[in-house]
Amino acid sequence: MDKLNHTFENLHNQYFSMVLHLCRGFMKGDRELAHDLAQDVFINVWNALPGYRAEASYKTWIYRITVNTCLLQIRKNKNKIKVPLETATHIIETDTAIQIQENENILYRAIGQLDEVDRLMMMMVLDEIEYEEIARIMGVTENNLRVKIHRIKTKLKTLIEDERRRTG
Amino acid sequence: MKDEELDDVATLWQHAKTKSHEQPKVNVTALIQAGEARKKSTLAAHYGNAAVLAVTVLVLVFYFYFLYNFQDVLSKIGYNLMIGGLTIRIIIELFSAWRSRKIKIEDTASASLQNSVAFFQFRKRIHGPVTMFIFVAYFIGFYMLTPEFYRHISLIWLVLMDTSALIVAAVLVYFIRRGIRQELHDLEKMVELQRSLVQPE
Repeated sequence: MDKLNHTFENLHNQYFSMVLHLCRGFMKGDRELAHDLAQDVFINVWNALPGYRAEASYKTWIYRITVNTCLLQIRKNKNKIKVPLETATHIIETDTAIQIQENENILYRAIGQLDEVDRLMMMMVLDEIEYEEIARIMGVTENNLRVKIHRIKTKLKTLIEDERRRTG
Repeated sequence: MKDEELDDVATLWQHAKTKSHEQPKVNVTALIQAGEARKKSTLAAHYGNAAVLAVTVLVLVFYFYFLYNFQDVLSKIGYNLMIGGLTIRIIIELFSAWRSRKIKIEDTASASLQNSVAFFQFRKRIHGPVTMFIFVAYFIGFYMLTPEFYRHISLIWLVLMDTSALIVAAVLVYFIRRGIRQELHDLEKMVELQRSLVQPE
């Protein structure tokens, strides 16, 4: 049990930010919902950890759990368990930071308009995950994935342009 | 999208990602506790219904077979319909719990969605004709006991008993229909997700 706790703590320290960011993209930029979802991912990680067989790297394994938690979360509004957050780091906002924040919001809004599956694939591309690995996470062929990603990129470009026009 | 344009988006994405490091983390010990609580609640959700139904069957068996000695054939058919229907339902609940364990959160998204769709299709089949058959059989069985009960209790008690059974039936129909609607919605969503994932471009 101690070894399991230790492994879990390491995974949490190493991958929480990665998971949180993916969840934030999936939740269209909503920080609170993203936290709830990231928390759900790590609860699933904890429960799946005893069955981890090292057939995939921890990173791929956690991506799989994140993707499935996101896709299956429509069933999860029941049984929600709230976990307290640790103290937040204070962030000072400057004009440049506000501008960057606005650009990020545009990106989140645009990504949020993609279908759930497309959104997850696109976010993994932006996370610089190799196509081969994304195909392994999603369970599709690499060729099919490439074609899909080409289409999603074109769609995302249009969505970002629309969002930029809308915000002036 | 041209590569440079994607680069801009990727840079923005990566910048936002670095900010995720500054976000408050979730307490690990609390997460582990939540994980253990989730295990228990999942187990309760899977086997809770079967356990409640099993206790009901035991009470009915004790009452009908040992405590109250029914004489009429109609009554005997009636209580066996009730017990039989509930027993079938227990078996279905246990089978359903076993099927749901095939959905593994660490599978590929495609496998996970495929298993979810198969599970919800199975639930759809149960919720349709099978649940209704068991439900109707249970209440027909209950009303088949009425003639023999009438020989032992007053009319007012009999009317009260039969009316309250109707109210219970109405409440159950409401909850069963709500459950069916929710699961059908889940099924539609899963099918849609699976289609968008595996459909060739």
